[in-house]
Amino acid sequence: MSGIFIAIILLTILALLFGILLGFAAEKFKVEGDPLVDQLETLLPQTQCGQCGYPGCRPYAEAIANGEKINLCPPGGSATMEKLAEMAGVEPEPLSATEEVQVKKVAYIREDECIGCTKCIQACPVDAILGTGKLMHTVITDYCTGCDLCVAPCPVDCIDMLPVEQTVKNWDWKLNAIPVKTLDEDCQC
Amino acid sequence: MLTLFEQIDKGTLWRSIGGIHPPERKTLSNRTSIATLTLADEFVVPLNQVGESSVLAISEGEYVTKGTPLTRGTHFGHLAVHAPTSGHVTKIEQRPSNHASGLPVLSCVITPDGLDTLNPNIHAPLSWNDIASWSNEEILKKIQDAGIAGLGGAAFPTHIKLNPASEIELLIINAIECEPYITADDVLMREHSDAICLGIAIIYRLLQPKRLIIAIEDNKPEAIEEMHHALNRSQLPTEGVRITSVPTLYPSGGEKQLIQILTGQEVPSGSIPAHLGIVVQNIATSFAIKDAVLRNYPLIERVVTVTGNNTSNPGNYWVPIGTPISHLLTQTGFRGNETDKVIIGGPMMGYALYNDSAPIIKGSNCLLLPDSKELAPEQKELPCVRCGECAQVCPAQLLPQQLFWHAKAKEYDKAVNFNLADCIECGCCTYVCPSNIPLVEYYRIAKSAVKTEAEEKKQAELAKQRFELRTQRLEDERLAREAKQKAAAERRKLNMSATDNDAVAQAMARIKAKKAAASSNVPTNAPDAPDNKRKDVSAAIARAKAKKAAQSNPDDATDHSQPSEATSVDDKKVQIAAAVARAKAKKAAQQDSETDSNEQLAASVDVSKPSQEVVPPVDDKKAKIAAAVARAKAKKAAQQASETDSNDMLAASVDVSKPSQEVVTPIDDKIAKIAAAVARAKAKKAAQKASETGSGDELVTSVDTSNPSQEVAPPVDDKIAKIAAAVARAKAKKAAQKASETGSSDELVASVDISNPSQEVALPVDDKKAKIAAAVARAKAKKAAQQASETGSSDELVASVDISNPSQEVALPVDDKKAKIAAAVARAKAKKAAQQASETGSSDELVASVDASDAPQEVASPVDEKKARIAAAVAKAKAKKAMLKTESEKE
Repeated sequence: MSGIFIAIILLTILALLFGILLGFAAEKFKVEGDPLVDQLETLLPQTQCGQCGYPGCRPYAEAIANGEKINLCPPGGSATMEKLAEMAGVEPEPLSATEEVQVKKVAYIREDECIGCTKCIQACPVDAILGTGKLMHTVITDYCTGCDLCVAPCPVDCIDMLPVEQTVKNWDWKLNAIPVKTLDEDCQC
Repeated sequence: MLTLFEQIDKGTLWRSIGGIHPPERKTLSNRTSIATLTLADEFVVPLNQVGESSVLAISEGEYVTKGTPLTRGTHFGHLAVHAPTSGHVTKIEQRPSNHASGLPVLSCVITPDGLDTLNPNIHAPLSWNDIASWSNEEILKKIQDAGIAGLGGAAFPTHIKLNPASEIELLIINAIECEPYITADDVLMREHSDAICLGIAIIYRLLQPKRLIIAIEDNKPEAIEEMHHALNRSQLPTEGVRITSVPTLYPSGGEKQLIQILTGQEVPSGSIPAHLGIVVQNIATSFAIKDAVLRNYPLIERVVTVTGNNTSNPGNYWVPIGTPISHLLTQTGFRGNETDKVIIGGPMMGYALYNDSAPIIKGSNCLLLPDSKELAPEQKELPCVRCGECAQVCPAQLLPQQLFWHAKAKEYDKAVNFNLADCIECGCCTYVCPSNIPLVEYYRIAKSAVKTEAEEKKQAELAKQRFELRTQRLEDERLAREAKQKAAAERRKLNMSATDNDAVAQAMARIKAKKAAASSNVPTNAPDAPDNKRKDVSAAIARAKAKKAAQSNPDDATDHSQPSEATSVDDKKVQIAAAVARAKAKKAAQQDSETDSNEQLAASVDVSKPSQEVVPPVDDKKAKIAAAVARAKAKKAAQQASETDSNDMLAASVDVSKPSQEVVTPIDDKIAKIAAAVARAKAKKAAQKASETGSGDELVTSVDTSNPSQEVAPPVDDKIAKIAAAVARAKAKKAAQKASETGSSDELVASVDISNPSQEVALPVDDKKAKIAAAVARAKAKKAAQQASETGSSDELVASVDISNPSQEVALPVDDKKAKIAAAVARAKAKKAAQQASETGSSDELVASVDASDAPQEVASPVDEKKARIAAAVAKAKAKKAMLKTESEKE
């Protein structure tokens, strides 16, 4: 009979101990903020284009963490959507916007037509436009995310969205293998 | 246990991993000596680095000699390119590149003049002793300026490789040339072994390694022998330097594979051999280094193996960099047709060329022209059977089948987990694959996809940083702006509490003093008998005004200190005038009732001494006109008051204090009228200012017309007097302007004291000038008023415009027309003022004390009554319109 009591007392003490341990750990290793938001944000393309309806990529990441749909990011395409679905633990769904051919575009200013109004500079979310009042502006194409936001404010419509030119550096290796044929060592063909 | 160096000295070789033995087919091209070709019609030198780490050193049309640098740069990674021959730069344009993509790159097109003139910088070769005193930096500079890149195929800048951060213990000269068909290094060693050894000596000098190994595959016995002889003749030390023959195996010429074979060490993933204290240098590069250092001869030509069954003259050729491949093909007797492949590099690692106008570049060591027998037809890719052959031959110890699996499924991150980056693309796995799977192609696609993804991620991260910085910057700017505004408001408040009150008090004191002085003057002015009528009229006006005030606010204290005694002459007219006045007063009351609640309207109309006014029986018409004018003014004032929005405390005290003072002589009515008109105009302007000031202003506009009686108009020297008056006015105006121009949060005390108007003596001569002066004065007053009205909100504006002596302005009885015009102008101004007043915002505390003390000054002359009446009618019509407008705006 005393064995039962000993067992109960021991278990109670153990439960208390572990409870204290867990409570301490919860305080000690507390994670500030929502790590999910950070993880989701790294998946987003950071164009800051606002096509999802949120003012930037981070707000959208926060919205996804709070249950927003994962298919609102056209620049990311379905690849991003799938990653978001995996990260957020929801089912993948087709993109809400009609997915355009995934050709990256960047803005170009037709510089002789620019009147130097600085409106596009104010619109650019990533500081990719260089220029000042009454002087010609230009797009730092390496910095341009292709978000399209500068096109609408231009009063003289001198901004074009052009696909990124393919160069030797960004060329995607195409499948053009040289077929293999085994020749005899002494073949005099 | 032997140390590593002892083992190296013994010539120990470690077992290499994987590898294959493809048919070598080197005898095709290594039986002839190195030949030279005729110059091509044009040379195309790609300018890969231009726009990144270098700039163009030449321009189109320029003449260049052989060896002239085409680019220049200060970047440490800058690698100059040079003119391969003398001639003119015809174009700098996009040309097809010698790259698997065939995409165009910026290139310099040189049309040779056929003379092959050497650049004067290139000199006869120096001897080894000549460079003995040179520093390493000098030698490296020469190597960099010569644009020397690794000639084994990767074209990595040699001067970077030869300037390692860590100490180098082992230098390996790579003369393996394991890829089938290629014999460029083989024949170079056979023919230029001494030059190569000199180049190796320079490298040895730069790196000071403990050991030097020249590694040559054992399928090149002639080359090994030549190199042994050359080594014995060279400046290289005999200790620690050896030539090691390596068994033939593909791909033992790979840098990491060679290190593995020679030292048994494995270069860690993502690391470089220099971290192990090892540098591997290609043997052809050593030759180029010798030329660069001893002759200043840049890298403008190299040995290219042209081989395969599709060429009639297989062999090795000195080919200038930039020679179009089409030229090379025609020179070496290309036998194939257009569909036959032209492969750059060897059969294992080379790529098929898209466009044979692409040039030979620094890394092109072989031009393989296989016929259909050598090259297998396109074979259908079969499914992977998981045989594992590829894993056995992989020299990098990877799992090619797993890499293929994930690369095909586009699961690139998983492929990366299987160390995709360590694949050297040697092609062994493809060679052994029984299913004809082009494995290396899959890896290349996967690699470029991974690279693109990483690049995008990096870009996204940078974009995010820029976005965050921008957001932060905008926020900072906003906060700074707010802080500035706050500080300005604080300063304003401080100023207001400190000095403004004083200023206001001073202004008020001045006004009071003036009033007191004026009132003390009152008894001295005895009303004149002949002007009774006019007095009567003015009395009537006063009454009318009092009535209006009473109607508009019954609670208001209406001071009728001495009830007026109206004489019995011309009752009718007086009555009519009174009726009109009542009607107007009613309207005013209506408007007043329309004004919002919370207004405390104190419209105290002091008609302090009406009894003094004696209405004389002369010239009633004129009197009527004057009365009409007075009424119109009163109306406007009431209008303005009523239109100010709620929460206003409106104290519009219209003091008509000393009508009796006015001594109107029966002479020169016109002049008097004009003067009166001027006074009215000014009063209006003041009112305008008051009403135009924005919300939150406490506006004290006290217009004192206090000492009219002082004015004595003697008949002497009017011009001088006028000038003096004009000057005084101008000064006053400037002061007002300055005051009004000080921005918001200023304490604006614009006290315009024209204290000694009596000095100004207006004479009956030269009325024109007088009028002009008056007009100028009015214009200025207007401007000042406008500026005042434009000052921002929350100002406490004390614009006390003391126009103490309106009567100064004396217009003469000549030129009625001009006088009328002036009057019309004044009316127009009044109208505008009324409009502006109606547009003012809410919550003003408006204290517009318009002291029109000398209203009765206005005397209508007996001449030109018609015109006067018309003018009056026009004025009334305008006033009406203004009212309508304001009402409609309100609605």
